[in-house]
Amino acid sequence: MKKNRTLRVSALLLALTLITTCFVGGTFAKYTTSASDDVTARVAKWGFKTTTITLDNLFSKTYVKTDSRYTEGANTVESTVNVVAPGTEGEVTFDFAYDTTNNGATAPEVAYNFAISTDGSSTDIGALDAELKWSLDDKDYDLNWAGLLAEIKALSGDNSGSKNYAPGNLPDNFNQDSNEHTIRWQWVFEDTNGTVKDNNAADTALGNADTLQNVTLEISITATQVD
Amino acid sequence: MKMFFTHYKNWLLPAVLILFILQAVTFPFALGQSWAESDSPDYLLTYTKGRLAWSSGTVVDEAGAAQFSLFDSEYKNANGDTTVTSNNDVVAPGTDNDKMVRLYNRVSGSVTYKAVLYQLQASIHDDMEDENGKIDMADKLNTEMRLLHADEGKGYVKDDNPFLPKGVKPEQVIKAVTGRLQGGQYQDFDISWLWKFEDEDPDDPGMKERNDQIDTLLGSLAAQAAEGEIPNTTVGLYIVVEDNNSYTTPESPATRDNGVGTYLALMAVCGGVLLILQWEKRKASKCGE
Repeated sequence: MKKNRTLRVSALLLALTLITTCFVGGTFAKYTTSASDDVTARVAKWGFKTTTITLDNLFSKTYVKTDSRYTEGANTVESTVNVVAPGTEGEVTFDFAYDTTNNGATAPEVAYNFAISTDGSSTDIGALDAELKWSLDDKDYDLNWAGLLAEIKALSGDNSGSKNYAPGNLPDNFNQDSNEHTIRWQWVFEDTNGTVKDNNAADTALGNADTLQNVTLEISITATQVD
Repeated sequence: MKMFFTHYKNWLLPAVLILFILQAVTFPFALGQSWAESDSPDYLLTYTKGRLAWSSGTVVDEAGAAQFSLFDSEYKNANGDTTVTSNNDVVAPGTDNDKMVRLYNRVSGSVTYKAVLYQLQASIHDDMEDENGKIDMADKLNTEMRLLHADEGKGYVKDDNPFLPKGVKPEQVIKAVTGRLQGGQYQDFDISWLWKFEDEDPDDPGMKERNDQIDTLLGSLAAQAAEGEIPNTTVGLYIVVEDNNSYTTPESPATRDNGVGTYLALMAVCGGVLLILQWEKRKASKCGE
């Protein structure tokens, strides 16, 4: 009898426990106070440095002699304005830097459009185009004027001169490994490749023209966040 | 044990079965108030007698202010393209976000609430200045608080004497309101912010360019400044409930679960007992055969 009573009481207690769980629910929660950081957001990193592209040194008013047999002076070309002439050459380097100092930012954290424009450059340099040879970033003068302008625009990452980049990426041709670009030009003094040195007549005609030919190069690089 | 089951099998099995069914039926109530999915708040603050508590997972500071996730480390545009990505929560031109906080009065009587939304600017860089003076991040982020399902003057009024968390100055308050909640009712607070991508005014032709310059300055500072000096901002919401003239400030939520795990464990025990009883019953029936 005693054993049965114990079992009955145990069973009843078990049942009562199970009944109360139906109505307890969240009372098992235990509240504590915790300290936490403020909810803060910082400004997303941009980082392209304000850059002024200067091409002033591409052409010059004077050019130093290259033939030691000439002893009349140090320069073989002297003018009051920037000029080009047979036997002259020049180069200029430009860049568009991304600032990675201080906090190690490696690329913008926002999507952006990267555009390179040559608007303002001469659209037609006429007969001069046949004499001036150009190169971009290498030493082979294998570009004409139109080819040079196209290559410069293509530095954006797209032949159109404009490309969108996702956050976390630098422009294809202006990244940490390759940020500077060099433009070179050359007006060959004597064309020794041909069987006839016939560029002399063309050179002379250019130098004697009533209206002298001009060449103007302008480069504009812009990075703009896209929405 | 065998004798126990044999003797009580006639009423024990049905009793445990009924208990198990009751547990299953009352399970949703053990979780607390449930909302329609389309109406679910991002954060829930529940008032019970003498107690305010945020829902599990909400982070609060020492003053009891909610530190909810208003900012993100990645943002996408309408086309689904990622336009901002970072290792930290950031803001940038063209980014925005919003969260809904619900204050739920779970007592039978009415209570009075006071809610204040504030914005801090922790980093003032020397270069964060344009021709009009120091640049304030609060001016760049159009942060707002709207009270849903309530009209100003009827459901709430402007609070001219808000309770402010420690460290928050009156000039850092974006909006402070006070209102009354009947028993069983709730009030929603929609917190939103927006950094306009293009900010222009037809009456001010130079505004767009000035804003572009400020935005670019802020972005450049973020990339070039030392880690502790990058421009940043903090937004917080502080709610106080008044009941019988006593004030209760929000507590942080439980660091353990709210009893759901325990409840499920007890349901499992009940279910296990049910299975054992059924098995014993079958065994007894076979022996009887």
